Amino acid sequence: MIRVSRTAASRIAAALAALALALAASVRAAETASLPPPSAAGQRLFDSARDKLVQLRVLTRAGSSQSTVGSGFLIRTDGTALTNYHVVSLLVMEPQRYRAEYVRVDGKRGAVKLLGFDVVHDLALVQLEGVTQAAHFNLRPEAEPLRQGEKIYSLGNPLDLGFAISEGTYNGIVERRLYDTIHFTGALNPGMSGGPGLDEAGRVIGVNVAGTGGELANLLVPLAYVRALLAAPPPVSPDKTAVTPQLLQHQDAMMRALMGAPFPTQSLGPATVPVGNEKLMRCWGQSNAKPDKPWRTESISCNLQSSLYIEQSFNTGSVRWTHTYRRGEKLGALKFSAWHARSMGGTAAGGEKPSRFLTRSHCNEDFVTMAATGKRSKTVARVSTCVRAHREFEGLFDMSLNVTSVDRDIEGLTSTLELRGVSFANGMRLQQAFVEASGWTP
Amino acid sequence: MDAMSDQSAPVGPGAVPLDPADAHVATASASDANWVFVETLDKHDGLRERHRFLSLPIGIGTAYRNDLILDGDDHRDGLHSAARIVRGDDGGLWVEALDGAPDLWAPGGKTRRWRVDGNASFIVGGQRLRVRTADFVPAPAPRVPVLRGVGSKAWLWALPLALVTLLFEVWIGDLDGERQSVYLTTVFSAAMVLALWAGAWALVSRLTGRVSHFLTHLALAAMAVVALFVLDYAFDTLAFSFNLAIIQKYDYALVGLVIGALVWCHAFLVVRTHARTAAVAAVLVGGALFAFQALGAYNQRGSLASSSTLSVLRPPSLRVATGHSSAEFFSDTATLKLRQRAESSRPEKPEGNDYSFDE
Repeated sequence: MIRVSRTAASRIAAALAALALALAASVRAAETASLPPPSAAGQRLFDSARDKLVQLRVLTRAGSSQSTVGSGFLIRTDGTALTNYHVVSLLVMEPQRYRAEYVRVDGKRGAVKLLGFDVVHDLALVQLEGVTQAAHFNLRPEAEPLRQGEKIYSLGNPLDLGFAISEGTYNGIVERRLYDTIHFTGALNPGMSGGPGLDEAGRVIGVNVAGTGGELANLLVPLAYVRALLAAPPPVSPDKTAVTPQLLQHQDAMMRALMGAPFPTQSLGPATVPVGNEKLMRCWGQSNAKPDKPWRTESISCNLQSSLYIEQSFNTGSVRWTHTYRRGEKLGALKFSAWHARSMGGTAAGGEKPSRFLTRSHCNEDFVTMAATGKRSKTVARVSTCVRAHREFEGLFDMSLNVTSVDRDIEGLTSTLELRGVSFANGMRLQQAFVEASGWTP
Repeated sequence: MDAMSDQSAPVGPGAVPLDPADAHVATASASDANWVFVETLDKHDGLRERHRFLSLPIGIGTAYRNDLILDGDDHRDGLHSAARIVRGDDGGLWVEALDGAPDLWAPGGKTRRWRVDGNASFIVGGQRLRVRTADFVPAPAPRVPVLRGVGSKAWLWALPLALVTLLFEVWIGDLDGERQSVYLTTVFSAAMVLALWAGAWALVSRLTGRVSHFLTHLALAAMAVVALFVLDYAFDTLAFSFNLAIIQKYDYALVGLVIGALVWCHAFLVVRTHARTAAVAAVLVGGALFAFQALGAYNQRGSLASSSTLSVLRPPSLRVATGHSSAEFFSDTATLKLRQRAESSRPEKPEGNDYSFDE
């Protein structure tokens, strides 16, 4: 047995304790060293922005329960602030049921009055009642365009946790979208919508608007649209009657972009199908051909990034289509036709029942023979088009087109086109062009 | 009716209660030509008991002085004689109401005197009766028409045929040929459902008659499955071939029709209920099925059609209708706009959601 004297033991214990303390201190030092130093620019920006930021809360009129929360920022001394349309959409669509209030960084509150909005670019101008002689943000001059890689900052009230600043990078304009949108590489969380995007000088370069679902890949509304909204005459009444003309303009822009030139086409098995302008549309392909299966499918889906938020349960202004080629060599004509038919029926966009926003679906259908052309051999298809009118926005329609070939025993092509929020004439024109661009390759 | 007296020795002037099942044994000779048979019936004119009387008149009532003693009730005098059966001046049998308070109901309504018709019933004191004489020739018993020529063996071909049609349905959706278990499950499930259905009807048959006719009911159910499949397939093919989508959109009514017809066949042809009862049952069951499907369609899409557009295809060789050009198709869509305009101007409250909430 080893005996250790009391003095020796206490010395060893003291030495071990000293060693442990030294280790802990070195770990803390290492941890401190591995974190980036706080951004001085960020700290400075946040300090200077505090008084110009607000949280916007949309509340029920009856119970004052919080319904939506977003951010906003002052842009004029008279208390005019900017935010997103989607933050205050309930004031536009259901003002009889909802009201809004602002909360400043120092906790001061007041009522919010809607001045105007741009539903297409998701912007809204509001008046913060009781705010005068306020400090406000300045816009970055047009003459100083942003450069890719430039450091930018996003401010707002994420998740209703408190005001925050997020550092990131300007990465240009998002590709393949109908309207320009800033690609911000940095954190953006729900609740920051409507907050400002700032450059290092603290000038506004855009407005926080949305995430993309990708980590740190987020979107800001460019300043050009903010300037347009500020320059536009205020609407007579900033309510939902002002939405319709904006949606009509949007669908015009959408149709011009899609139909400005003949549909680009692509091969899909032995078929030729329209795929849309690749600078505008985002398309994805899929194939599940397997050697041990008696059938195979190949499909292409395309959509135009143009959907507009109107209210929590209603988006519009979008276009998407899908082409599916099926082949069932070992199935036989009878079995193949039953399989091919699964893609038919239920063609009405967003369901068929009448809703608050849409009427009941009505459809036309027939066999359509597409004559042979240089790019297409004769094709016979079952074509159906279903239409629903917008109840709230007169002159706009949702349309669904289904084109299913019926002229081959063991192979078939199904194309579907969904249009939301288009005029009747534009919708039918696009559908016809779409049908005429589809068919069997000669 | 007083059951004790019915089961005992002859009552009245030579009354002999007969078991209905033994009725065919009684063969009248020339000397028996005056025998009168009074039959007590249920409310559907089904035979309960048959009593033979050797002489007239025959008193009918609740009192024990009558020849045929009826059950009394709280409101009837225990000495009551309701009616008697006599031979009239014309040589025929007549039933006459007694006591000056007519309680005799014959075809045509309440009466005091009615000439007996061996094919019709009358009511005395709440009891339905029928009178026949020894020379009455009963009509031949109706056969079940559906089994004519094939007897009770129809199930031998109907059941396999029903299972084959159901297997065809599975096969047509089996793209990979990897669903052997589904085929087996389908056969067993279908056989079980058909047997349960036939069993339920067999129970009804047994309760109302003497024979269950299980196999006959089974054959009927199997034939209904085949009919449903064949009609549905034929209608869908017609819809595709001749571009008549409306047929396919509303052919779910077939289910109500076929099942209604099936119920009628079970009830009228096999159970032998009254034609009217069978028809009511058929309409109720068929109508309920139709309403159930129609409401389902309405809840789903706001119209009674099962789908917005044609949703079946057949091989190209079966297509008869020709196609229009795309320009013609799209020039014809103007009506859609008109219909939508009318629709959107309608102050319709949307189905399923309550948007009228006011705070």
